[in-house]
Amino acid sequence: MSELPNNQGHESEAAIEALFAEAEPRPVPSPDATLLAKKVVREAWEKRVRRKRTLRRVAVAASIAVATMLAIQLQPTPSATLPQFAVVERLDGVASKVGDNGRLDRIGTGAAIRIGETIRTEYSAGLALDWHQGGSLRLDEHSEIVFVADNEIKLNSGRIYYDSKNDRVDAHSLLVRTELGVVEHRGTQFMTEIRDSDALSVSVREGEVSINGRYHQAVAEAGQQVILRGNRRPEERRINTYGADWEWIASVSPSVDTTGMSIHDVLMWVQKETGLTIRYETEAARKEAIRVVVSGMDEIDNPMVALRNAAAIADLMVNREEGNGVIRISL
Amino acid sequence: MISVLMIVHMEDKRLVKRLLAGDERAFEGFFEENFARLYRFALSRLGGDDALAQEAAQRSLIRAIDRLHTYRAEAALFTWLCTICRNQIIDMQRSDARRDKHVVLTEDHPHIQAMVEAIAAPVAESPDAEYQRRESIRLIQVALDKLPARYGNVLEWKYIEGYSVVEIAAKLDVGREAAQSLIARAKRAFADVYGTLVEGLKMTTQSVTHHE
Repeated sequence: MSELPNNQGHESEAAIEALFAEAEPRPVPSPDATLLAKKVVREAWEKRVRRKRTLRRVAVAASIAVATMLAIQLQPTPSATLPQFAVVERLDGVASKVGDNGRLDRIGTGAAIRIGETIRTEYSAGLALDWHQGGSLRLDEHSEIVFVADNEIKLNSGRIYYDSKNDRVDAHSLLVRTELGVVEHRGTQFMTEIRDSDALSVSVREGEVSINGRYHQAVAEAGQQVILRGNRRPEERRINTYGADWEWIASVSPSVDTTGMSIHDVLMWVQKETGLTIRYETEAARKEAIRVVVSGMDEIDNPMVALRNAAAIADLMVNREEGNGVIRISL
Repeated sequence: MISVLMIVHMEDKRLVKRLLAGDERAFEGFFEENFARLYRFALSRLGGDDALAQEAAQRSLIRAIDRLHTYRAEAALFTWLCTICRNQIIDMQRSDARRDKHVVLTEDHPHIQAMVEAIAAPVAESPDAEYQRRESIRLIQVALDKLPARYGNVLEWKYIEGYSVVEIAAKLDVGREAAQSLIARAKRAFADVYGTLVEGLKMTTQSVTHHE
């Protein structure tokens, strides 16, 4: 391999000329490929710049709100005056807020969660949050989320489930950001999971969800699961809206005060929490379920226990059909 | 004395800042300076597959755009981009279809094939000389790509494509003296980088020989 002399005089010029005498022009990509690549990369850049500007606006708005509240307080206690965006409704196992330098502060039921805070669940843990913008947000075991804004979270790892409870007139859409894409919905129940750090999985129980990945976009409907894995084409498949993959959600169902609820209301709650379909065998069975109002039933937080108790109160028969997720109710 | 390369890192840091701020000219410069170089970086690692190399370069730039905020200017921007490209190539090669197409078996590698054939061939017909020549050309191209894009371009224009200083000045829309000054700086930078590559190759060869 030819070498170059260290001096910078004519010898150096001659050496470089000699070296380059055998060289060839460097290969270049085709003009078409270059144009296409420029277009695609530009789109990614413009999206990136817009996202940065949006986040900056949200952060600025939040910080202004914080500053205003602190000014009012004579002895400001920042953690107590920052706006709350969620409250822990139910907690099984161990969950913590992740503080500076990774310090973990255990949280319990009733803990308030604020913008900018990160919460993490340990193995075998799960929690349910009452989301102030409307909806129920649940976190599975070994998962971590950051509360970015009042309608936005970042899923760092693990699995979340969101029920927008879209019967509320003020229900807001929730944006779920991940390293692999952004999931956005309105009026749905869906589950989002980061698997092995390189796959984003979105499963929809009800409604519709849009997913904006780095390389692909997709829309998932009820009964569909979409997986984005790197730059591969999205995988789409039909799934059940009930069953083993969804059971963890029911295991952290927030407690519901049943006072004044009809048996029909309880059954509809069971349907929503489990993804199973409640079907009345006869009109008479349905009317009886509406007629009977719960009295003396404890707060319910376990759908299947609630189903059994409700049926017993109204003297209704419950038959679970195998394989199709239907629960038949009869007199 | 601040070396040429350190100055480049500062420029890279400023470019990234402008990119993140949405500066259109920064994007143009970022793409023009790096797409072709990444393409060449990928080309040699993807068995010379033109389409795959273009795809790898495109994906690398998209990934880099997403990770721009993590660039610390501790290394040249192009070095950082090459790291991203390397990972993209690994991802692509993990794909079953691509792996089947581009796995290079040891005995099929041109270098090994050439060595095997050379054992039986008379010295006059040995392909070693041709291999050395190709490697020399490739090393020059690698060194040119490791320089700032403008440096690599002016050297290629002058010494490989034969443009005059006046023509190079016109291409860059600068004065003749500015073009000469740029070429002189590019030569010094090339000598540094090429010398380092050759030294590194020698050390690698000696290490392999010692182990044998």
